Amino acid sequence: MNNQSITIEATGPVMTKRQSLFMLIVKRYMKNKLAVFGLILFMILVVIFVLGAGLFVDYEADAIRHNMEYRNKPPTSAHIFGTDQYGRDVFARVLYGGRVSLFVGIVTILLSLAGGSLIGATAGYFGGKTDNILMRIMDVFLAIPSILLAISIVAALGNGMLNLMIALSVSSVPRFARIVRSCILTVKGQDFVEAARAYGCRDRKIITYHILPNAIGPIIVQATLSMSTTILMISSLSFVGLGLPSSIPEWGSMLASAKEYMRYSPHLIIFPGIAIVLAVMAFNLIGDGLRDALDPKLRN
Amino acid sequence: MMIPVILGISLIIFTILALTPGDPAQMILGENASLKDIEILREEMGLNEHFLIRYVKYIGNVLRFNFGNSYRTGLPVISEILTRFPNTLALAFFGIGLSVVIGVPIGIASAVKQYSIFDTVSLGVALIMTSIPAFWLGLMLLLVFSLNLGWFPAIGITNWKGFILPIVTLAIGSMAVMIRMTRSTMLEVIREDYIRTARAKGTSEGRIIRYHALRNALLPIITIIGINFGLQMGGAMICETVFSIPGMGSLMITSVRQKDIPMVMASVLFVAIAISLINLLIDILYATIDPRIKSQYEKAKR
Amino acid sequence: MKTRKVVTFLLAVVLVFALILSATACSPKEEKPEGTKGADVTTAEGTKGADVTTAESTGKEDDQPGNVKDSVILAITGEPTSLDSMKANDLNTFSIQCNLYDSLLRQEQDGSLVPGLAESWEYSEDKTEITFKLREGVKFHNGDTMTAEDVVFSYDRALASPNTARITASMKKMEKVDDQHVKLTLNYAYGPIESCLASVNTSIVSKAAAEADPEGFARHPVGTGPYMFDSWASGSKIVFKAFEDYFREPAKIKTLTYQLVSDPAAALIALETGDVDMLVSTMAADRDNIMANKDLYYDEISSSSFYFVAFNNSKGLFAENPKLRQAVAHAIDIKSVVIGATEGVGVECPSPIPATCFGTPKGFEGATYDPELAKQLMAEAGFSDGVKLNIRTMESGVYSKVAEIVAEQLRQVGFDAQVELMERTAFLKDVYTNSDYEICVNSYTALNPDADFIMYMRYHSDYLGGGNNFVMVNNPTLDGYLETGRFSADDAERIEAYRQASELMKEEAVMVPILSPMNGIACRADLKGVKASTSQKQYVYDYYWE
Repeated sequence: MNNQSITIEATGPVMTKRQSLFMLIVKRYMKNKLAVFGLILFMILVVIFVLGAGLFVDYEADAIRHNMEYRNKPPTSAHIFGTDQYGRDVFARVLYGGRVSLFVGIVTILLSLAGGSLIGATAGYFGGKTDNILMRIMDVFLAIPSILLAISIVAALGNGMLNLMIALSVSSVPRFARIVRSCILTVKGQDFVEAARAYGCRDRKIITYHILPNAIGPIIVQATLSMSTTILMISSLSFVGLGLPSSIPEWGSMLASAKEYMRYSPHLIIFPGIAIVLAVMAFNLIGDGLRDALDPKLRN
Repeated sequence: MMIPVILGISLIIFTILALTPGDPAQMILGENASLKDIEILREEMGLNEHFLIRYVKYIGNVLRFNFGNSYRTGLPVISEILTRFPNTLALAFFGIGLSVVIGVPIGIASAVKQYSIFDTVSLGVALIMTSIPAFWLGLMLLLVFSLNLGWFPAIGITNWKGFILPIVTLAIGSMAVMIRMTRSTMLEVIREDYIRTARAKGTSEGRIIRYHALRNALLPIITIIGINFGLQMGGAMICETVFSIPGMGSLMITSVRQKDIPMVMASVLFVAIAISLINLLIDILYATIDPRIKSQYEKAKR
Repeated sequence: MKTRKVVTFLLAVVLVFALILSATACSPKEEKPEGTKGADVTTAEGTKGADVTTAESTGKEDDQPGNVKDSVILAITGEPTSLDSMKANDLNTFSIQCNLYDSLLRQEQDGSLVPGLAESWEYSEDKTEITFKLREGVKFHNGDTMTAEDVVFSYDRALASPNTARITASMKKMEKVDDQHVKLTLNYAYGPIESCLASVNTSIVSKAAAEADPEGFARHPVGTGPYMFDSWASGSKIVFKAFEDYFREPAKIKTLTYQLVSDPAAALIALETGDVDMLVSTMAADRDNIMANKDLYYDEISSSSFYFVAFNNSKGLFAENPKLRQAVAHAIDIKSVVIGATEGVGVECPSPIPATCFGTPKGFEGATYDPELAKQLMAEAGFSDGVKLNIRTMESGVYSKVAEIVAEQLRQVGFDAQVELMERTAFLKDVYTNSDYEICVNSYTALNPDADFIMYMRYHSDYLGGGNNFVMVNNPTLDGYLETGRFSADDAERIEAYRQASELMKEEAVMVPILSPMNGIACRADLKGVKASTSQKQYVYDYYWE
């Protein structure tokens, strides 16, 4: 049993009902106070990281340029989060770090979604031996502690953004594969699919009109939840030095470099740490909210 | 079922390691070695053979309980692992234990008092706990409790006190999951028909919770414990670095980065086997607790 | 009642687990006296019935008023690679091994060389032969007496070992003359030979013990030093005990424990709380804090190593464009690097010879910090639009900081510089052995504080490539200076040769020396006799508690 399991319920030919189903889900989501809070938090963070970064601070001057006279200064009005060990503005780096985390996280999720969908679809569609073999392989990957898998892959491929994304996405592929596979299996068993095939409906249409709409929900839930784990893993890997080069602002590597100044300049670890917590929390809340909203069992 | 999974894990890790840059022979001989010496050592160590052949040879040795010698120290890998394994196991075990002992009761209370302030607060706390990176938490605890307050030693295992901070760090991470899972399982169970029946019968609420609800919720909770154990072994890795505990985690991280292939392979195998065994135990526990499953086995026997 | 059964069952499981685990988790701390299964703890053979007390002394337990402590716990950040003297080639390992062994000569804390296991020695006319008179009655840790055979054996294995090349390169062979005398033949007259004779690599080991168990010697060493090996709990700690039959006074500190603490911040906390007694190396960021702490003693000395930016002088961008090398040299602001990478505690190192080494040119000045000049040189070389640089270096501590700062400074003058952090063995293979790089940040350490160690094999054309002259410089004039430095017996002549070599290297911008870090040590204030050393050597024989 996977504590992130999501129940799929196919509701038959969904073309006309899609509109109202969507609104139903939105309504249920909005009822959940925590979920709404998460959504608001997420939107605030996006605004700050994506827009604010460009507006309030300058990349070159604040986040990158070294300024040895102002090293490790505690927060002041000029630098509201203080400066780091090379004199760079911590606030600027936290903002740009948000962009980096979001970017790396999204690409990672997309990669694992692509990989997972491919594998899950193949397994679900062809069934039988292919299904068995593929799922066993997925089980194996799931059994390896994801941090060890990521470390091994990064150690193999070397540091760098692309390699990091590959390493992290590999850990998430099995979960997406499972979801896509169960969507396909659920729909495959339905009578209307037989009927549709009987009068010549192409497989592609079945996929587009029947499988996808039912799959989107659980996939988005999984994507959001994976996003939060991915952000945590990015910072954990950067912390042990296997993430991004330290000139690129990233919360985990900021914490790693700050470790030796921790006792004398606690501001260096407080602010990036809080940023991680907020970002992860936002994604967790949204993911949970979506899962509850989509969960047919809670319909009362 | 267990065996193909373990074999699969070993193959994957071995492949990844075989592809890594960094030459073990170079590392053993050090910076001053000449290319000729390195090449001779590579031949001796069999590093020039195709990696699949090396893998098969390795598995053959493992089956004879020969895990090879570490590239770094030249000593049998097994001795180092046997020294370190109990530490990680203890960390993971007590970490889970603490999170269960605290998390499950809170989860139950939350479910029973759904939507109350207690519920909201505990969910909020659980949420924050899942969002905190373990290494950050470990560092902060170290700073506050070890240095500023002096309550606990800074280094891991000189006495039992040294285990407390790392265990708390680990427990906090999985406690959140315990709380939430217990709560949601209890909520599901409470809504079941047989609970309503019990209430209609006039049974006291307390007895319902203790006797009916909890027992049924126990199964998913135990499953979560099993899954979490695997995660804890992974989480223990970071804790070990922060608190300088000689365990499997720090061993694996250093060995991977030093390309000490025999050490990494053996560590991975051990951890994988441990996790599989725990899951097996969980399944057995299932059968013992759940009369439905038990009766399945009994029926099959007849 | 089913619930009760379940609960009791679970409790029972928990209890059983807890018992098993606490039993096993406890064992790595205690020592098994003999007969190990090769499992967790390895102990010394032949402790002659001396009782093996658990070396589990936490600082607090021994701290009884009026009771003078006789144990010391040192925190180390990494385990030694081996305890076998002929396998050691890094500072960390040397610093630990120096307590187990003695060599023919000994180097004191102030750098002077005094008789060790050799009472006296004489040079031949041409200085290619040295005859030693051995001290009598020196005991090994296993009770044997040291003989001329042991000395010959030790030198044979040192010369055969690839790890000792830097120390033994000048030596040809060691022969027994009679029971009291041995003769060492050199390949050439070698100025710094005496410091090689004091090195850990040439220490005298017990022939009997080493031949009995060549592989295991790394974990069961037998030497003549003030401390003998007691146990090594892998990944945790190493314990030495004072050798009571040492040929000088036995050490005052009776139990010496090396505790592995991989995290420097945790190590400092442990020192402050008294869980360890000494840190072998401190972080620059902690310097002020340690000095302000009344309970601690701090000492520092400029190390005999230095960090530098190196170019590949034979292939690629910098080989073809000497002006570009000059541009880089002038773009680097060494003061900033010292502040940013070593908290201002390190010292600038203008020449390729650190200040603590014999032969360092006094008053030497490196390339000036002149960004405008750098830009101009770039334009002259035809790169006014900038050029992409990939600075390769190792990922640990000071390396990455130096590279970061240098990269940023290069960006300021128009280079598009990125830092590539590599894992240590990958770096050693690609950059150091195969010279697969254009620009990198690396460091050299003079294992003995003499310019020859850090110059000859690094820049002489005889040693191109293969992990020696990895900057691939091939300059006959430079060769000439280095040869004078090595073979001349006249100190003044050697110093002048090294000055000329440094000047030439600066003109050609073969590489850009940057800084020497400070070696800092910190210990409890009542532990006396502790001094920082240029090579991080900690000779515990000199320590005592007050």
